[in-house]
Formats: sequence, structure tokens, C-alpha cells
Amino acid sequence: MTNIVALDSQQHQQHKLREDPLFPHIASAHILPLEVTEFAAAAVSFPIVFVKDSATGQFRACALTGLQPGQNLYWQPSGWQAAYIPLAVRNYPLLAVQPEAQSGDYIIAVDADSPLFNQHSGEVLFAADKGTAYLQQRARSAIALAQSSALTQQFIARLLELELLVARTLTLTPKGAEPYDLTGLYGINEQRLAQLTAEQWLSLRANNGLLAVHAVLMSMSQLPLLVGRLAQ
Amino acid sequence: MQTEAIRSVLVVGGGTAGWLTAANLAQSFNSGAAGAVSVTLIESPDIPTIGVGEGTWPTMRATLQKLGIKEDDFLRSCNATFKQGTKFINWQHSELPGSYHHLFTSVSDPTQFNLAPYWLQGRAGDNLSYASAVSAQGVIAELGLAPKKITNKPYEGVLNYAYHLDAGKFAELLKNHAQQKLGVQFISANVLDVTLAADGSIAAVVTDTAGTQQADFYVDCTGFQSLLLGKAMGVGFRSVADTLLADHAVTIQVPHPATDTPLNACTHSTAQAAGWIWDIGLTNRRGVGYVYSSNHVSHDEAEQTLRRYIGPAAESLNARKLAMQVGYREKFWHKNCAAVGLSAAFVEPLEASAIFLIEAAANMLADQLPALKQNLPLAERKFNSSFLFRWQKTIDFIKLHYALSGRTEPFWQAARAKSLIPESLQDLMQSWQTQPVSAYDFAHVYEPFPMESYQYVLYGMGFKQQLADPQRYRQAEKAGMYFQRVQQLTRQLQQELPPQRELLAKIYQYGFSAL
Ligand SMILES: Cc1cc2nc3c(=O)[nH]c(=O)nc-3n(C[C@H](O)[C@H](O)[C@H](O)COP(=O)(O)OP(=O)(O)OC[C@H]3O[C@@H](n4cnc5c(N)ncnc54)[C@H](O)[C@@H]3O)c2cc1C
Repeated sequence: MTNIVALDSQQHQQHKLREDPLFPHIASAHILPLEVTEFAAAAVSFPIVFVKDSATGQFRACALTGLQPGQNLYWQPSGWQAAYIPLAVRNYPLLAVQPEAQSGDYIIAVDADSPLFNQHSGEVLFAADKGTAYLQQRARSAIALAQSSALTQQFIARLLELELLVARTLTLTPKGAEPYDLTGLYGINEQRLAQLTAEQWLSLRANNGLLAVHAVLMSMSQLPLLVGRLAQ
Repeated sequence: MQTEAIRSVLVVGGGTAGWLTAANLAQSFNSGAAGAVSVTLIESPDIPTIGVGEGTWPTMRATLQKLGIKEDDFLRSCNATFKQGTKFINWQHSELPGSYHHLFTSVSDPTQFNLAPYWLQGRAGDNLSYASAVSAQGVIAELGLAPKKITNKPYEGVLNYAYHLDAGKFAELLKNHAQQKLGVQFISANVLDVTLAADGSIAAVVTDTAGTQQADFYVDCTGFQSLLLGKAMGVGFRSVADTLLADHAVTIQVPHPATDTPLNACTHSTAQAAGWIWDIGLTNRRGVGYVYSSNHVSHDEAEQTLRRYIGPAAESLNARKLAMQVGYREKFWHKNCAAVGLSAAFVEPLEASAIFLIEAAANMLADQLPALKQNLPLAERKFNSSFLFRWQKTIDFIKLHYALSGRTEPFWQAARAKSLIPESLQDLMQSWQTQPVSAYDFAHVYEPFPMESYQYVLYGMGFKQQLADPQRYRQAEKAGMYFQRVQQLTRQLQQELPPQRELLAKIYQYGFSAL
């Protein structure tokens, strides 16, 4: 469970923020949110897929890290098993939210239930009512992530407009068990991509959309490797 | 002359029927494109639409999709809610309260595998109603939950559904969409006169402010007055007032007390001394009306009954009385004119059949309106026999609700008098006493109500069925699996499906993803 509250220099005066390179909070996450700005770097580690957010029905981009809910095949007690660590994972438990859409102003919030946010160990957040240099640096990266998230939404909207997303069902046959379908995943429709007009194709170039499309396609070569991890 | 092409269609009337038909024709004929068949709609700026007709059938999803209307736009602009069937309250007895559901979803399509014999044998459990044995939807509807989630595609449901909608806002939406996206030409004027050619076909309509308008084909959507087909062409009206006794309705619109008042997930239909009250929940108000027989209750008393049903909230609200012409035209299509909507036929709105027969008529017209005038007579014959069949079967199905009632008031006794039950229905009811309802009882492709609808009503009303040869039903194990599946789905969907308002709020905020 998460419990998102705004950081407050009064209320959280005594709080500290700890980092844990083992990322225990994603031990059982089978998808991890990704932003479009990360696709190229992420594509060498995970399949990049699109899923619908169950609360809003809107698409978001994710790294596929497991083959069923509750399973993260890149997570090990000894350490993260992929070259790339998604930004949202690194920023946790902080995130930046815009109280008013498009205002450009962000407030920094925290998952108050995270053990990383506590009064005993870690970096001090506030000194003399002001954010410490450490907090400011963490806040900057949280804001950068929130800004990329707007780009991701634009990118996905463009994919939908061009009808480039398509539902994909992964049928998985674990050794010695019944085959099952992993549903709710969407990918890029290559056939449709090949049919785009020159003009549509060029329109994808804005905000590095072409690179992102290719990163998603390339990332599909990670799928057999992911399935292979299951066998290990 | 006879090989002339049909290049223009004029729809007269801009209610639900007029706009649905004009939009469907224009979409089908690609009327927005240069050189395509043109579709024009004339609507009176002075004569209001009937202003009721707010419950639909699941066909509306396909209709809206065909017209290219986005489901979120529709829901938002028509204050629409999801309808998962009808709850019939107190239809069986006058004294003993009770209710049953006529639902849109069943776990097994009964024309493929009929669960009813096994339910009758008690294989679904002893105290389970038929509806609860074969569908999770009744429980979901009772809880006020939506038939889908925000992650579903537009028009896709976890459970089958229709809509409740604001009729005025719906016509408005169609009017804008038809003009802006589909190329329908709009003329606001009163038709004063209809002139006939020597062969009795329509030559033109004469308007007050837009001159004389001519077209190759006319669609009469002028409501009860049936200005073109009835008045001008003289096609007769066959009343079924002796079969379906309700001839009036009094209606009141009741604003919800709060913006978060929970919404009913199905239409409620509550039996009264001389008819029944419909209760339809939109996002901002309810539409409530008493459909009654003026031979059995005075207009004043009917209004009082409706006000009592609503309670104190009714005090400051206006009631509107409507006379209903119950029956159908001898022909729905005559020469170069077809009637769609109230101008063609009407039966009491017990099963929301009117709008879906409008959709069906518009679909058939769009498909069958010939490109050449020489082919009109054949199209006319097909259309007329198809819609005569559909209306007669609709009348049978409505009558079935009355024929099965044990209510004791004079209206109800009169309504189920055997002499007033169409023979076609009597035959079926006779056979169903000892054998199951069968797919072969509904062999016509354009049967308006499917087999499952009859079963929901029959078993919901406590119809006595004693299967004469129980040996024939040997698939108890398969049936048992279906019954279990329903119970499992009922539990699961209660967890998964959001309350109607919660889903609507998300739709307003995010919309459905197109995919
Ligand atoms: C009490 C009641 C409850 C109902 N409930 C349901 C329900 O729950 N579900 C359902 O499916 N159906 C229901 N119906 C039926 C439904 O309301 C109608 O089938 C539907 O609204 C279609 O009406 P219409 O467009 O044919 O006619 P109308 O709405 O009457 O429209 C007639 C149109 O013709 C125009 N017009 C008339 N004369 C002229 C003229 N001289 N010149 C130019 N224009 C003219 C008018 O301006 C108007 O635009 C109900 C009906 C009644 C009476």
C-alpha cells in the first residue's frame, strides 16, 4: 500500500530519507513504469510494453519484469539483475505532482509508508525550515521525471491517433504447469507502422518519437530472455 | 422513368426517429462526399418532440458505433447511464410484493445450451431464481454497479448493457453529429402540406419558410401524426388497443436530491392498479411515468398514483400527460415513403422496444433503399413483411407480461383475458407448459426479442412448467458447471466492477482508451 503525502518542512522536520540499492519495494512488481525518455536505455534490459492503468483506463508505458502479477524476475535479494534501473524506481519514495495541471509548479510528495522515509537513518531533509541540498537534488530528479511523464502521455496519444498500439497476449507455458495467457499488454503494431504515410511518419519525429518507437520494437528481443529467467 | 436513380432522401421530423434514421442513412450512403445520395432533414421549430423514450436496448451500442459517435461523448452529453435490464416489481401479485429481472446477459446462450430444464430440476440450488441461476447480472444491477470498467474499450462490456438517456439531449447530439460529421442537410421549417403525384407517391412537401422540398424518397418521422404515410398517403392504422389496454402515460422528471445519489443500474417497472410505472435514472434526474388504461383509472387518479410513488419530492414538480396510439400502420413503406418511429407504430414502452425498432428500421432502410426506382416495389414488400412480423412479435412479448400476471384488479383481469391474447402467443404458452422454450420457437432471423428474454419473463413471473419428458435432459454435469460459473462470476464481479457513478466520473475525466 502507498500513502502519498506532500512533504512539509514543519511536519517532516525530523524525517530522513534512506536509499536502498536493493529496491525492496519492487520485489514483486511484474511491471515498472517507464517514461519515453528512458526507452532507449531501458530497451537493452526489458521488454517495453503498454498497459492500461486500472484506475484511469489510460495507457502508460512499462518495463515488463515478470510473467504474472506478483513476479519480478529481475529482482533478487542479492541485487538488481538488469543494467538499467527505471527512473521511478530510483526516485522512490519521492514523486513530484502538479497541483494544477499545466501550472508548471510542482510539489514534492512522499510515500509516507515507505521504510526509506523515517526518523532514524538516512539523509536529513530539512534544516532551519529549508530543504537541504540533498533534498533539492532529489526533488529535481523527481520533477524531471514528472516532466518526462507529460512527454510520455503525448507520445502515447500520438501512437493511439496513428493506431499504432495493438493488444498482445503472451501465452506462457511454464515447465510442468498449465499454459496461461498474460493479457492486458499492448505493443506497437509493426504492420500498421509500415503503412504510415510519409507525413505521419515524420510527425513521429517530434520529441524523439521515432527513436522511442524503435526502442519499443527492439526491446521485444528481451522477451525470450525474460522467459528464460523463469527457467533459471 | 423507371430506371431513374434515387439520389436524394428527405426525412421529415427531428425526434429520436428522424435523427437516428437520417444519421444512419447519411453514414451508409457516404452523404458527406461529393456526388453521393443526399440526406436532408426537415424539422418543425414549433412542434416539440415527444420528449420521452429514455430506455434503450443493447443494440444502441452498435448503432452509436456505426455512426462514429464516441461512447464517452455520448455518455457525457446525454446524461446517460448504463442499463443492465429491467426489474419488474410486483407484477405477479397484487398483495404479495415480489420482483424479478429481465437481464441482457446469460452465462450460456440458451439457443446453444438451454439451462432452464436443469434449473427446473433444482440443479442450480433450491431457492435460486432463474435469473440468478443463469446470470451474475441481477446481483450486479441490484448493487448499482456498472457493467464495465474504465479499462474496457468503448462500447465493450464485461456484461451486456444498454443505456438510459435524456431523449432531448440525445436528439441534440445526433443533430450536431449528423450535420457536422455525416453530411446531413438540415432545414428548420414547418411542413404545411404534402402533395401527391398521380400514382399516389409523394411529389413534394410544402413548408412555411423553406419553400417546396422534393426528394426521390421520403421518410416520415413526424411522430404520432404520421403526416406523410398516414395523413397524406392514407395508409390506415391498425389499433391494438383491445390487446394492449394502456392508452395514456403521465410523466414527471425528478431531479436527484444530490450529485452523488446512487443510480439504478436497470429500469424499474412497478405494477400499479391500472398499469405500471417506469423509473429510469439519468445522472442528473429520474424520468418516471405511469402508463395506464384510462378505462380503468381517471387521469387525476393516475397522476396521484404517480405522485405517491415518487413521494414528497413530487410536490413542486409538473406532470405531463400523453395520449398513446397503440398499434401499427397497415404498411410501413408505401411507394416512395417509409415511416420510422411513432409515425409507423407504437406499443406501450414496457420493454423499450420503440427505439430499437427505430434502429432496426433505419438499418434495413440503409441496406434496402434501392439505387434505382424500379426496385422500390420489392424493397417495399420486404420491409413491410419484416416489420409487420417484428411488431406483431413485439406485441406478443409485451402481452406475455400481462398474460402471466396473477394480479387481481379489474385492469389486470381484463389484460389477461384469454380472448385478448394473440393466438400465436397462446400456442407458444400452451407448448411451454410441458416442454422447454426452444430456439425453434424463435427461428426467424429478425425475431425482435430473443429466447432468453422470454425465459427471463416466463420464469420470473412464476410460469408453471412441468416438463413432460424429464429423461431428455441428461447433461446435468455440464449444466452444473455453468451454474457454478455464474456463482463464481457473481462473487468476482462484485469485487471488480465499480459503482455506476464512480465509473461515469472516471469516464468524464479520462475517457475510454480507443483500444
Ligand atoms: C410514455 C412513453 C414512454 C416511452 N418510453 C420509451 C422507452 O423507454 N424506450 C423506447 O425505446 N421508447 C419509448 N417510447 C417511444 C419513444 O419515445 C419514441 O419511439 C421515440 O421518441 C421516437 O419518437 P419520434 O421521433 O417518432 O417522434 P417525435 O419525438 O414525436 O418527433 C416528431 C418530430 O416530427 C416533427 N414534426 C411533426 N410535425 C411536423 C411538421 N408538420 N413539420 C415539420 N416537422 C414536424 C417534430 O418537430 C418532431 O421533431 C416511449 C413513448 C411514450 C409515449
